[in-house]
Amino acid sequence: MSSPEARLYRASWADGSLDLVAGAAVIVIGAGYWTDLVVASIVVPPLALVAWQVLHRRVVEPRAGRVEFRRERRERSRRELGWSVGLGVAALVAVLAVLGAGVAARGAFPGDLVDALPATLLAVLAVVAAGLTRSPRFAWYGALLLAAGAGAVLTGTGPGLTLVLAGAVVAATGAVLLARLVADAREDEA
Amino acid sequence: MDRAPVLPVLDPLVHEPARLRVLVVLAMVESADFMYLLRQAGLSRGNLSVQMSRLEDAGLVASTKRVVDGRVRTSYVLSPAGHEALRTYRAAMREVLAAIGD
Repeated sequence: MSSPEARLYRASWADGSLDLVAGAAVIVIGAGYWTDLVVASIVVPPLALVAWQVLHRRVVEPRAGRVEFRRERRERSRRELGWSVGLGVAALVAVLAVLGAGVAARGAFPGDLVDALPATLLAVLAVVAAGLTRSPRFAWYGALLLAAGAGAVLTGTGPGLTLVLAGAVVAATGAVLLARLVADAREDEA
Repeated sequence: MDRAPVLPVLDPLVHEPARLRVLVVLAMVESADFMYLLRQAGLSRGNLSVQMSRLEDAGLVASTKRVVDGRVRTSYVLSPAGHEALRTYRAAMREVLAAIGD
């Protein structure tokens, strides 16, 4: 069983704002692939980060309050972020190596497998988020995104559609969590 | 006959459940604002406000106020005296619990 401090830390990520913004970002990225606006996958992540900060400050903090965790926790998070980024890069290299092996074997880029790449990269980010926030639901999002990647390959619809669907699930989960927070805060006011 | 109490006396300022909850939360974090403590303590605004004033008057917590988006937000930290009070409380409580046995 985790310590009370660890439970407090995990609870501080349970407001749904990150899920909502990340899900919306995945939807926009997926729509970008769908409409050949692939540049969305570069533009959207930094915009999503800013949007999350604004949403958190304007909607979450006035209702859930603001907490600053102790220096040891912040340093541990920073260390884990470093490890997570390293693992993410290693996973990316592994995926590219598999694709490269496909090129070597078939003499051409395996186009169908490329369709799984965006969802796979986003799945790695979701797993990183699960570790950093100590929230298992982000690992489920990772599994969902992997399934979206597999779906893109199996259905041959390209990466866009399945990304939009997966993003919708993530965003909807975030919206439910955030709505619950807002409703609870309204109850507290009453 | 020795009339001194056998069991340690628990500090009522710390022992009161609502205040104890707030103090323990503040012991686990660097700082927390009023809204955060409100949700963690599960108290009404009025009750929490009274408890925080008592803790602040006793020097166990310290507060700072800042304006965010036009609203005043009060942030609290556990003072060194607050940390010491919790340590003393923990030691006393251990003795009390040990006396109960299994």
